[in-house]
Formats: sequence, structure tokens, C-alpha cells
Amino acid sequence: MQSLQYLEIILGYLVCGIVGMFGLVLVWKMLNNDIDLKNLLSDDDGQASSSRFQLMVFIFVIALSFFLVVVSNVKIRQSGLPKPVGSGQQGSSQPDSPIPDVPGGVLALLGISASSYLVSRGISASTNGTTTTTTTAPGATVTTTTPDKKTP
Amino acid sequence: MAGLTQVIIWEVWVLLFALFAVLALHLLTGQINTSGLFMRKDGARTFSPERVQLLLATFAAAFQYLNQVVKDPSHLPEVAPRWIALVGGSHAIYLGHRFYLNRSDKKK
Repeated sequence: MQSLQYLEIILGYLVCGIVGMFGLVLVWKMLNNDIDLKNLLSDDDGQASSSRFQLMVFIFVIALSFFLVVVSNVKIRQSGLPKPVGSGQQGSSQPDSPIPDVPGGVLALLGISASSYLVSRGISASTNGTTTTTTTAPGATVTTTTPDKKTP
Repeated sequence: MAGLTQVIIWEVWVLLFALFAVLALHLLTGQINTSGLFMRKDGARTFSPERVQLLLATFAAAFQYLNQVVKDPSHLPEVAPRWIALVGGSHAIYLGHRFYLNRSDKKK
């Protein structure tokens, strides 16, 4: 039993190291422009897009908040202290899980943000004379953008 | 196991910080294209107040939410309905104006 626990910890460190290396390689490639971020905020016309920018801001803020809450919950579990009253785990399937529930308001904010981006893309596509078609199949959604047929 | 948890937490902190730093550096040095962020996309390329208000509302809502989490990181706080209304209204103004400009351009 003792050896299994050691194996579990060794594997944990190994996976942690591999994921960390992947992350650092990605960041290094971004820093050296091997991964080109020039058009991260750009629309098809090459101009920066407000809708892309606000979507990026919201995603970063929610991701950072989620991580802060997970770290806080892990620390509470390790210290053995009881969770504070009203800590939002009432609806969780695992009350002791450090993974927090995401409130409906946060999902609404992300939904508004992502919908705005999509609608903005649709308006851009119609301005540029293109047609965007979305095909939904079980387990996959494919969006294709094709130029409008020009009449002779 | 507690040691492994600490390593994971530090690893994610380092990766998140590195990612934010790289993005901030690219934004500040102009390696990520931000030209025209506050400009209309019509032919005139004039200053666009609706884009400015969208970004102000975004930053206000994001800062307010992050502030709530930092104050009490035991759970993800609920977003007050007035903030959802503010962000929704701001997006409606932005999209409505884009739609209006798009229609005007097509009529021309």
C-alpha cells in the first residue's frame, strides 16, 4: 500500500512536470513570435476588434477568479478548517470538492460577451459580402464563411 | 500529497503570470495589433464612442468581479443583476450601432 502511494506521488510530480514544460514551451514560443499573436485581436479587415478584446478580458478574469477560488478551497481543506458559511457549494454534487460551482450570473456574462462577438462577426461578414453558414451535427458544429456569388 | 498540491499551485501561478506578462508585453510593444480599436469600421474611420463605452463597461464589470473574488475567495460570487444589465446594455448599444452603420452603408 505504501509503494502505491509513492507511485501515485511520483506520477503526480511527473505529470505536473510534463504539463509545466508544455506550458513554458508555449509561453517561450509566444515570446519569440514563433506563435504569432499579431492578429489575436484583429478582424478580417486587419483592424483591432472591440468584441474580441472584451471577450478576451472576460475569459481571463473568470479563469483567474476560478483559479483563485480553487486555491483558496485547497488551502481550507489542507488546514482542516470548516468552510465558511454561504461558500456556494450547496448545489455541488461533491460538497467537499475544491472545484467551485459557477453561478448563473457568470455564465450570463460570458454568454453576453461571446454572443456579442458572434453577432459582431456576423455583421462584419455581411459587410464584407460573405455568407456565414453554421451546420450543427451531433457532437460538432461547423461554421463556414464563403464569398457571396457575384451577379454578372 | 500536500507538497504536490503546492507544486501544482505554484506551477499554475507561474504559467498564468508568464502568459499575462507575454500578452501585456506584446500589447504594449504593438506586436499585437490594436490599431483601430476605438475607430469605426466604416469608410470614414472616425472615433467611435460606442466602442469606448463597451470597453469601459467591460473593464468596470471585470474589475468589480475580480475585486469581489479577491475579498472573499472561498467561492465564485454571484454577479449582481445591475452589472449584467450594464454589460448587456453596453453590448446592445455597440451592436445596435454597428448594425445601423452596416445598413446605412448598404443603402449607399
